[in-house]
Amino acid sequence: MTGRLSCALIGNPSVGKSLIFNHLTGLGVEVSNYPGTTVDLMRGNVCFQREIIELVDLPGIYSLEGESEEETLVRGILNRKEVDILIAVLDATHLERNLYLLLQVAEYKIPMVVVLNMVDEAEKFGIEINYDLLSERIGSPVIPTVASEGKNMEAIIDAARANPAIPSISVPYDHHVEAAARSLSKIYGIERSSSLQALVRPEGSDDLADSAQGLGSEIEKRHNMTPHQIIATNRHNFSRALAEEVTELHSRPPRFDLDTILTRSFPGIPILIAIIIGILLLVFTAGAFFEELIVTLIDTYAIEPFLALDLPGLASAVGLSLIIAIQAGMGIAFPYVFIFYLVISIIEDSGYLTRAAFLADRSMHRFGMHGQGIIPMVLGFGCSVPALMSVRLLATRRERIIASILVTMIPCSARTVVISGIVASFIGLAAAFSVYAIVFLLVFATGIVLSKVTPGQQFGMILEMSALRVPRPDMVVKKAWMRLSEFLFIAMPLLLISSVFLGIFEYIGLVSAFQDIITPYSESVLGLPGFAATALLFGILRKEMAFETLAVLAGTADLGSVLSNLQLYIFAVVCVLFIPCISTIAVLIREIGKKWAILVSLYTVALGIIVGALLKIGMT
Amino acid sequence: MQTSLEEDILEDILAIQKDGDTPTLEKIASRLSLPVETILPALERCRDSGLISSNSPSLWTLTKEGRKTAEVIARRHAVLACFLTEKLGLEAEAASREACLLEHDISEETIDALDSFMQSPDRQCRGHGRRHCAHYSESAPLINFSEGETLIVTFVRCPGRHRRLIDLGVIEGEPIIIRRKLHNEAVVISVKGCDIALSPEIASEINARRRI
Repeated sequence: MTGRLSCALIGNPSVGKSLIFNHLTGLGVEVSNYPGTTVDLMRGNVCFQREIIELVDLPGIYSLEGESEEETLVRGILNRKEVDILIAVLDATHLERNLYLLLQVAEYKIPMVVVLNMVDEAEKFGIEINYDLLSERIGSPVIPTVASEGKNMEAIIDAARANPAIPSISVPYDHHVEAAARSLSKIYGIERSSSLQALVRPEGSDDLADSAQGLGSEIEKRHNMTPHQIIATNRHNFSRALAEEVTELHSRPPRFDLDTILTRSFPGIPILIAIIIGILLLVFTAGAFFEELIVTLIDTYAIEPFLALDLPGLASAVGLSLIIAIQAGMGIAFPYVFIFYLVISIIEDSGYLTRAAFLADRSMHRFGMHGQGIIPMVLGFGCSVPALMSVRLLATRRERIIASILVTMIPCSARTVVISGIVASFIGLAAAFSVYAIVFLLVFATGIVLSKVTPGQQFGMILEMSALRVPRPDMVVKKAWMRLSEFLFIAMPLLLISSVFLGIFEYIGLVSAFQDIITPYSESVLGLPGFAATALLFGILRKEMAFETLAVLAGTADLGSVLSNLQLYIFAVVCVLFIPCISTIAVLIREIGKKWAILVSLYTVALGIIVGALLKIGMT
Repeated sequence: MQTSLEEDILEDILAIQKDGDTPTLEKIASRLSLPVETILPALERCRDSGLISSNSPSLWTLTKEGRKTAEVIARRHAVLACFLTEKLGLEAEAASREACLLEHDISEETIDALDSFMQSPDRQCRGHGRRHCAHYSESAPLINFSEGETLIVTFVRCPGRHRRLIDLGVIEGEPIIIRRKLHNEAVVISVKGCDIALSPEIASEINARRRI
């Protein structure tokens, strides 16, 4: 690698690692996907007295011994000693729990700086920590910080540059475990940490795993506990003793606990519903407003001048398609994706999200998901793209697949535009609601079926409730911005390519040829004229475009004059259910893979056509 | 050292007192299905050794010392009865009879070993622990307790599947508080000062007892 010093922030989730990372690094932060995983790693550079230090923000974990992708990733990085110095971040208000991970990390014998964050909050709770004693016990420098106020941040870099020592702290394990670890180390010439790891998780088929397995079951027989349980218990007890040794508790004034209202069925659930509806209303109104604005701006300042140029045929078609693709991308990205991410970042950073997940656990169970599943479902009403991106929060692949499929089906705001623009304005409100009813029924049925047939095991929910605190505006905006750029990066290329192709097809007459071919089918199956089918095709770029194209192709905005109520109704239903838009497909491919993305697309197409055909048969 | 009869008497007085009843001579006799004259000498011997106090000829209550002794015997009975029903598959009533015979001679060491044998997690993840053991009410699934109670974790079933729980500190002997319990039995517990939400299927895999 490069010759520069590389440091990594390691610690439990929500201890302030990202805040510290943001304080220490300047511009040029890069989110990279660690090869072979969906875990995001943040890398940045710290410039200090003309020296550049690389800083990596490792994902928040509770332990190094779990099966989750994050834990496996961090374990791998530590095992391969990919970083020179570890900066272990501890939450001073939960020292004991945080020490558990620190004790594991210390076993890897990598030079370490300990950052004790949130010392101000600890003080408020009446917790007084003896930093010098803690530093002496761990054998590494301990730096008290308040990351939310940026206090003492430079001291972290100073300590990292001063060649910190390898931590000397070590847990005395049960003597059988120690003996087993010693013999493994001796036989295979490996470090103590590797021997312990092998005992905890004897994986693979090599001799080491075999011996570890044998020794492990021997220990298990004797203690009636697995080696992992024994080791974990030893560590927990050691952390407790250490935490008690270095902390002094003063009595603190009782504080009002917001959780008494947030996590009870009442008023917790009404509050949850109010918040969800609030988010939706906010995004609908603000999103629609800004989308309108962006679309009109591009119309007047890009499309019209471009058409005025009067370029020769093909160039005009390609150029126009490019502008339309940009219009579609921007029309989704800024109004919906960005606003959604702002709101979600606020809810996430405030700690409310975990409460919502707890309350929603029961209803999500029906769909084979856990409480966390509520997040993508709610987001789905605004825009499927951020909703699908949040599917990553779910613990198992099974849940991610179920959530992705359901999210794709939930009527997003663009589809709401179709429903309101076509059904509500030409047929009536009751009919518009009935479209929603049909879609919800299908989502519900699909969810129940999926929870039965999707492969994979269902695990329960074990979720730490993050502390409630007021989110920091700059962090919220930064987070939302990063997720937005991620969206643009995924969706824009696909949007541009497909739009250009559609433009060229239209230019060389393929679209009208398609219309000629599709017309008999469209008329016989759905009872829709050919141009309606073409409009549906354009809906793939951006769902509202189906509605706009329909008006253009029909030659009038008064759709009621060219199509019957039934035709309009069927068009809206099919359009809502029909294939997700290109941006959605792009995110689907990224999140759950090509195979599932294709399956989901085919499923929705089939569903749209079948429901449309049934409606036609049933109503005539 | 008491005779078997004396131990049975102490155990029964404890049971009567726990039911909120007053232990009279007749009640004790009827519980033991023995005539009054048979148990009277034994009762007097217990009074003489300071295990029972008797304010009136018909009312016999346990002293502090007597209560301790009675609880030891009651625990032996519960552990044995539980072992016999759970692990050996005896009928509850037969198990209780057997337990009555065994409880007098068994050593504390054996009882402790049996107890920890039964508390140890079931590796195959089957069965529901002590559902047949009505008299062994000490340790029960987390969801049987109510909001606000402080408990001690007695065991976590299938530890291999719940590494996360262990990593968060839900281990044998750890004190936890039930912070919230919804009607669907999802719970929020407080472990090491952190609140952790658990879905019902996880909560039902954790056993705990009240903190004494």
